[in-house]
Amino acid sequence: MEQYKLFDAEYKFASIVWENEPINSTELVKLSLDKLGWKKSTTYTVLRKLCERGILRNEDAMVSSVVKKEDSQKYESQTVIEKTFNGSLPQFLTAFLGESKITKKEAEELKRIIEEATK
Amino acid sequence: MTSLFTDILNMSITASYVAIAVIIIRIFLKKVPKVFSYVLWLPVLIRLVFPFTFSSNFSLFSFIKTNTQTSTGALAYVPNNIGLMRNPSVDVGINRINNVVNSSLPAGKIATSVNPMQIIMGIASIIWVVGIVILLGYSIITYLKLKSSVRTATLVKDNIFETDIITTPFVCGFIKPRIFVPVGMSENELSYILEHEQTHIDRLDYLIKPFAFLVLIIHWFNPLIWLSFALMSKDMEMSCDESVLKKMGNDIKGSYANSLLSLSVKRSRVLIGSPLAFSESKIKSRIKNIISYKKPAFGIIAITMIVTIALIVVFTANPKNEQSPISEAMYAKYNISSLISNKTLYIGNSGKVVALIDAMPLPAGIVRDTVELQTLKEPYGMTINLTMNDASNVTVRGAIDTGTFYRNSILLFSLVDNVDIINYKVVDSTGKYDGAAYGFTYTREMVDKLMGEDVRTYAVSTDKLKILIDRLKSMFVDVKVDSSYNDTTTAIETDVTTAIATETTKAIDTTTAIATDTTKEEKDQIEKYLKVIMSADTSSNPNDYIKAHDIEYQSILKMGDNALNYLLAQFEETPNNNDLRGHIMMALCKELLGDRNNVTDESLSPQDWVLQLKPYEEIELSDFHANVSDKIEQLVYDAAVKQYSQSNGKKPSPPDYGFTVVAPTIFGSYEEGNNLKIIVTVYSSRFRLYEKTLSNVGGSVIPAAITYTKNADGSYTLDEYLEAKDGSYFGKSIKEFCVMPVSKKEITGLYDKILKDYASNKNRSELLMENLIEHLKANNQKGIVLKQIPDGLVPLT
Repeated sequence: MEQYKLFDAEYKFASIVWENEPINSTELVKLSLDKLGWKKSTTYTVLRKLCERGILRNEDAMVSSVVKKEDSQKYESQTVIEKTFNGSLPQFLTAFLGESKITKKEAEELKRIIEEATK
Repeated sequence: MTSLFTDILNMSITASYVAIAVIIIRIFLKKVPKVFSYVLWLPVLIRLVFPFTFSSNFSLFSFIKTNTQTSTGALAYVPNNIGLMRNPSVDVGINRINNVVNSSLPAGKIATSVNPMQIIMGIASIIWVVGIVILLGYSIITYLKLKSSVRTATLVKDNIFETDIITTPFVCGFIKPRIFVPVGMSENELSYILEHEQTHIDRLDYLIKPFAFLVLIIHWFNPLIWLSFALMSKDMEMSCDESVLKKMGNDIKGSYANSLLSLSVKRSRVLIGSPLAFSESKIKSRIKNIISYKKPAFGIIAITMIVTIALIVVFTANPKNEQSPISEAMYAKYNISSLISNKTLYIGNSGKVVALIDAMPLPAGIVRDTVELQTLKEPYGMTINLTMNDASNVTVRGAIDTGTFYRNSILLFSLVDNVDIINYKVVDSTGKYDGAAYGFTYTREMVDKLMGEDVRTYAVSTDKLKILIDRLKSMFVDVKVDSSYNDTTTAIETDVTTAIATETTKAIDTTTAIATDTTKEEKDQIEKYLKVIMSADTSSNPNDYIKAHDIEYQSILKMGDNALNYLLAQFEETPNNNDLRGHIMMALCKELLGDRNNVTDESLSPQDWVLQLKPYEEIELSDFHANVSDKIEQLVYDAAVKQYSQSNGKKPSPPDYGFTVVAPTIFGSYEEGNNLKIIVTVYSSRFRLYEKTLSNVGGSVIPAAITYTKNADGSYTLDEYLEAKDGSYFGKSIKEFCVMPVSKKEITGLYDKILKDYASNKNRSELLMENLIEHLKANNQKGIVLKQIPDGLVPLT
């Protein structure tokens, strides 16, 4: 059986539905705000997406699941946003400011330095 | 926009100096907590944002020897009017850079209508704005994109959200900042990271950094500011790390460093090269900083704190505009060091020009008011407005000591390379002289002629300048020029050179009016000058001797009739005057006599000349009195003659200034109730009559509004004679009086009519001649000729 891949946020959201289905959409918004800290619009956007993918179903403001928890799989996002300083600055600056990735060799060297210093 | 760009450019240069200093000092602050390095960026930020700061004796900019401070206190390396300069130049305080930059700046050509530098500055400011728009737009879009992509991050607790689309934690938001962390961090790791991010929030870094970035965007053209921003960010992070360690204890060092490392290793899954990185990666130095961190001793902290605070003050303060100790700097009442250091090529450098003016003495009782600079087009000029607040010190018999003004203006011509005209305007605020205004105008041409050389050659060194001051001191020996030739700069603004030509003749002319006995000092002075003139090593031609020492020659002329009386007495005392001394004395006498000289034969020897000399007596005539049938015209003539008469109403009357003749153009008369207003332009001219020769001694063409009140018997009483104001106020002041006398309703078309008419004085000149002839006839003066500068003698009656 095909496993449905869900990203972290989608998985958490779907979990709320699995636990409470069938659930009124207004109620779902409320729960999402409490548990996920989501705004109403965010909740509806994610709900719509999951409905389109056939994972959830929204009929007459009642939400229920199509795919069950056992058939789904939490999946790590491929579209990783490269963090830029405090998230508010353009990405091209990261390179300039030296806030870039380190090589494997450098990482190992640093690891050694830390170990030595904290022995 | 160009001027805003110039301001930004100046702030950027100022900040660059501070930034360089901070970068150097940071090297010595490696071992102390990074918070000190971090706060040192504050002065850089202040310099980038505020053009003005406080002044202090202790300022970084006291070391950087520029003379760039403007009167408002802002530091300006690039003058705001650089686009308008004949030879644009900047002064960043480092001579080598100045030379390189200045030699690359294009010079303005007289023939081109737009200065190339103006275009360059215009283009540069457009590029600057475009850069800001692009960077700002890009940043905002990036921010909004990020914000929307973390929308689905899920709440962990409080303000902490987790999401799987990021790999490193960060703080986002301006009002209610949220901490975003990647999904799946270990509890241990998370606690340190959260502590770190929370510290950022507590220290308001989430606001400071975007603000600093905004400032960076404004100064995007300055690579030093980019470097500063990068280093500041690093200092911010490290000082934040240190805060965490301080709070959670030294024991967590290892785990904290490991968390940072593991985060960046995670990120390096998508490792790409970083060609622009200029130093070891930030994470590396952060980790090194963390593991080497130990709480420094209290003493070190205290000392560093004091030093840091002192540095912040020094970096933020502007230098005080004070000069070096007076004893060394003063020379004959001139602040010589200030004069030399504020020497400038451009009158547009207002800070320097004002500093120069203030380094020169003024007669006691006179204080400086505003200084106006005419920098937009040639002739470049300055007007120094002065206020007389104590007349007793200033005037002797109503005469102002103009020697000081002459000396000062010659020095200004020497030190300000491109100034063409200098005006001194003195306004009497004592009330003693009816708030009269006195104007003195000097031109470069005049000064170069007087000095016989380009006075700018003296501006090269302190010693040379002292020589000039010495020369000037001996030239103007307290010559008192009668001050009542006021308002000389009014009216004939359109032809400045003419006005100045009259000014010079008048200045000499008026001295003759004070016919007093020659004092012993004056006699000595004249002898001294004569001796100097005769000492010249030149040909036998007396004119060459005069040319060689024109200053001394002019100085004798300045003494007016006192010198004349003495010289004529000398002729009588000596039996034979046909020597060099006699020739020089004759030349002097001829100039001093002017129109009074009855001898026309120029070939006579001094002895023969003096024998034939019988100076013309001046014939004193009253002012012109018109007799016209038109009631309005008669009123105008009476009011105008009264206005421009030099003898009427003033008791004691000032030394004779001849008689006044006027020629008005009447634009209209407006009556409302009992009030009458007549709008005119009046050409007034003063003449002196020597025997049969008339000479013009001054005049003006000024639009005016004359107001009257109608009396019960139908006659009118003059209320006010309101003249149009001078210079830039000319049009405005005319507009103001072109209104109905009572209702103040604008009289349409009148203003344009006056201005159009003002362009030509032809009709008034003809009328003036008619009136003059009529006046001479009425006074039974026959066979009179008028001396006119280009045309020679013109017979009138």
